[in-house]
Amino acid sequence: MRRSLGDRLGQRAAVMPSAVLVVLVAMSDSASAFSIDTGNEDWAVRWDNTVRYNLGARAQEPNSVALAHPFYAGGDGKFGRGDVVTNRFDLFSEFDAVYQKRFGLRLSAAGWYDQAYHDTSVNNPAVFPTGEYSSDTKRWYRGPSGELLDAFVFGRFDVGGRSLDLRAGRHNLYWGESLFGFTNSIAYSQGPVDIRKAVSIPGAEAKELFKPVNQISGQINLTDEVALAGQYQLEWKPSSLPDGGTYLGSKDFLTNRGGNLIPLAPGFSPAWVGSAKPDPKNAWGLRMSWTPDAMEGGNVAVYHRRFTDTLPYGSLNAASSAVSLAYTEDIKLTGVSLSTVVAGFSVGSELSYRQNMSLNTIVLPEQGSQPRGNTWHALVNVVKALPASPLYGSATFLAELNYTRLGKVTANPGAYTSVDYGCPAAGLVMEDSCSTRDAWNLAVKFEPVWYQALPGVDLSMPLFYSVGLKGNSPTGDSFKGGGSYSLGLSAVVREKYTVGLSYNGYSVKVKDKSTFATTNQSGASGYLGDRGWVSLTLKATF
Amino acid sequence: MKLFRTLCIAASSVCAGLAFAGVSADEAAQLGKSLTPFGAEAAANKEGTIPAYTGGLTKAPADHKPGSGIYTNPFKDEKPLFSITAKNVAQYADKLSEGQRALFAKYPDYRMDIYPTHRTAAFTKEFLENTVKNATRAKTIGGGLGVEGAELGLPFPIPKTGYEVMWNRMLRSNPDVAHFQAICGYVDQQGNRILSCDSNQRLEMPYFQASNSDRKERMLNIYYSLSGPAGLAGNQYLLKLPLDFANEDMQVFQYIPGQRRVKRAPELAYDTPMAGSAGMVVNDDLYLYNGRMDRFDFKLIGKKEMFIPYNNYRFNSVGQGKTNDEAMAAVLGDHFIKPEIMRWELHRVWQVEAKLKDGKRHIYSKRVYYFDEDAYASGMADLYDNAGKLLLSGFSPSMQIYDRNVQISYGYSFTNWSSGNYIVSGLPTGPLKVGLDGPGAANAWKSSDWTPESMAGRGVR
Repeated sequence: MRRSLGDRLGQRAAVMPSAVLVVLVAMSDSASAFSIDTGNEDWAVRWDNTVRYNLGARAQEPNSVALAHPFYAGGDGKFGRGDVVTNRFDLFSEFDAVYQKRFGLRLSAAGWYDQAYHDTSVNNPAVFPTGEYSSDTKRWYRGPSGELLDAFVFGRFDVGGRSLDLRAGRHNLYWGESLFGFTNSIAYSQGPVDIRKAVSIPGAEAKELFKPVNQISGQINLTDEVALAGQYQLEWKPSSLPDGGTYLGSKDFLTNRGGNLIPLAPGFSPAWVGSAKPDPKNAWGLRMSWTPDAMEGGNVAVYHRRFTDTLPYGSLNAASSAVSLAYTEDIKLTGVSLSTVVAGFSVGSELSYRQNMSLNTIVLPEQGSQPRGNTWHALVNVVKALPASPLYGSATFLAELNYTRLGKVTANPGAYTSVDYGCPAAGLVMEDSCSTRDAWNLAVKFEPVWYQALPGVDLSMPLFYSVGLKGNSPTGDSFKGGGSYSLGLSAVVREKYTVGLSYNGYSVKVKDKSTFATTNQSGASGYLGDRGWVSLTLKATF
Repeated sequence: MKLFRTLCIAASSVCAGLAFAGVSADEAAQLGKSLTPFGAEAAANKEGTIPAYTGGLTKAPADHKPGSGIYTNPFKDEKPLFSITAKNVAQYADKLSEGQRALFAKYPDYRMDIYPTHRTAAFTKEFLENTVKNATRAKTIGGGLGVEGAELGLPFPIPKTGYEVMWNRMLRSNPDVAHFQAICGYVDQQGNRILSCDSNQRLEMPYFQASNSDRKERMLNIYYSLSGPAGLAGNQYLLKLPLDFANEDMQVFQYIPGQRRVKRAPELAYDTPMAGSAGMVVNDDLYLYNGRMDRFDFKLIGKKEMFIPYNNYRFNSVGQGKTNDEAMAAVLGDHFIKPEIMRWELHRVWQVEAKLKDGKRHIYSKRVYYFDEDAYASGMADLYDNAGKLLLSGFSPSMQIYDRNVQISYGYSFTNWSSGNYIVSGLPTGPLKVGLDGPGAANAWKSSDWTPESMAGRGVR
């Protein structure tokens, strides 16, 4: 007997959880200068290290129904209320050597160890028959381990009186105007994102999360007003998701590299093998921007990109009886962005059109049989800095509204988990994470600052909230009622050390709380509604 | 005519609205006679404490190495004439800004060393010729917010309104290009010296570039990239200021490291706190005043004699070649810049008072500025909150670049009377590359380098 469609997972692991959004907006605080004197005025060499410590504890009781569910038992049961969910040291090291301010190289690397995962057991035999995390999960959660991030060379060249900036090697590049996340943006899958780190570590640097990939990129000002930029990727890497069975893993079986089972129905638990690497053509993109004087700093840009998705859909291979994370190839994106200033608000906006984009599906289609369609994406955001008031020294306000709309389905409509396609036949409605024709999503951040609240200490209170306002997005990245929030207090001491305390919570709509048969959320976020946690972050740079 | 002129000085808001076509021919004829070509009183003062202007300092001292970017002190052996302390401040109160008087009142160990006055301001021939021409061809527009008809020289050598004095300050003689590394540091209530910015700055003034086709529209382009402190490293800022502030906006862009994107940053204006200042100063306090003048009514009060920072070779060189901590330790005392670092002289200054317009919002209700009549580089500022209390007071030291005939003022310092801290900004820690040619020159940037796209291309972090 097959479980309901809602039970079988393979949903698009498109993610818009708040932690990602918070981090993306987080100020890129990083190492202070540690310059290396080469004795040669032409070289500027800098090596900066940021050390971060995170201590987190679960604040909410596990939901008893979720705890008993084969999709959530492992991750939800690993830590009880009050238990330490992260006890982690991170080191981020970056090195730049610049010659005559024009040429150079940059290297960066990250390392970590989390004592909270010292015990690598996980209790959900239906998914983890060995009772242990895979070695891949152990590497990324417990460590100690590390990874190389940026490794690229760059240079500025004179081409016919114009400056051409080029970068070659492992680096990241994101276009468009989005503030919070990228799943609805022109920057969609412009490279892999470390969603795993974003969700698990509040305070991670934005630059650690946009994962670099081997590519060549460049930009040239054709005239004083018109600039052309391009990228050509030499490799493809998937975005990494929170691993199943860990505290913030969405569904237990959803691991990046597999090694576990996915319990789809009684007597039917195929192997879950994780990411199945596609054989993608090299992704590329072009951007042409126009900053006319008349717009007084405003900017219009047009884009065209061809790429392979870095976010997956679950795919069951009937022949081998294995479920993998598969990635849709050959997506085309055409877009336009506009940034301008209106009444003192910095306004960014985008409109883009994707062709043959992968659509929301939870039916685990065979690779190549996933639903695809043409979709429309729009966003508008504002940033406003507020001057001193009786309540605070200054404050920043950011808000972004996202809208996604289906143009038309171009392939495999039967596999499209939508109220207009696959859902009615399976007796499912919108709240079972079925996509609607369009969807709205809102994210808001407000952060007041109190300067010198104590001698040498600037205090701030970052507040963040994001939620799917209406509908479930056709591309599976926004679900009504789903979102996250965080309230924090942060102190910057002597411009060098940061101490932050925050409460991080997640909202998910569950149609039937007595069975948790379905949740109105996409794959990667699954059910995190009872995972609210408190974190203390200490950060120092040297 | 004389009555009209007097009326105008007293009630500038009235005059500012008039499309005032410069000054009369016989007023302009005084330039080069009773007035210097740049409009300062040529003669000495009655007491002889301010000398007559004799052409300024145009020769470098023997120990200056051309191209080094370090401007050695031509007066290094001079001793102060006297010092002002809390004990004798009453004697000199009328020649001190309110901020300086407040420092004496609060800190018994505050001291101002007063040196002989040297009118070292010297300018290029082109600057002086154009300044004289500007007297009759330049005018403010849009109620004082913009400038039209001026180029390549001081716009209003015979200023009639507060706005004209402010434009003289903003369009004072400056190198067409300057490039240097400088830091900002502040001292908290416990006496800890804290680095709040480590910035590589580049300033270009299209207004002073005869061959630049933009010089009638663009006043100043400022670019700086921060390498410290922790919270700001990798950030780049680009500000492009127009001459016609009445009809155009200042363009501000910020490059955000990590995201590797450039965002427009209109918030970096008016009274939002300036990045790298620990909330002590606001964005329009940059270089004492920066940005559109639409929220205040600027009135020219007149001229007076005042002790202002001048010939500040020590201030500008003490940090050069040092580490940031060393530079801060050399300059920053517990409550004020170490008195032995500062050189004060008696000069004649223009006094401008700006009052917040009805219906406009700003944290300051009143701003008072004093600018040196010779070069407008040295200046004092007193800024008052909405209750009329002194909130911020400060000054900008200056230095004559004797091998280029410009007087610069890139540093400034403010004491915040509400928090009790003070900050110093623009303290050079590396060589000052000034001018477009000759040894030690800054290399030129193409106009396309002054774009947000180029800033993004330049971002490494």
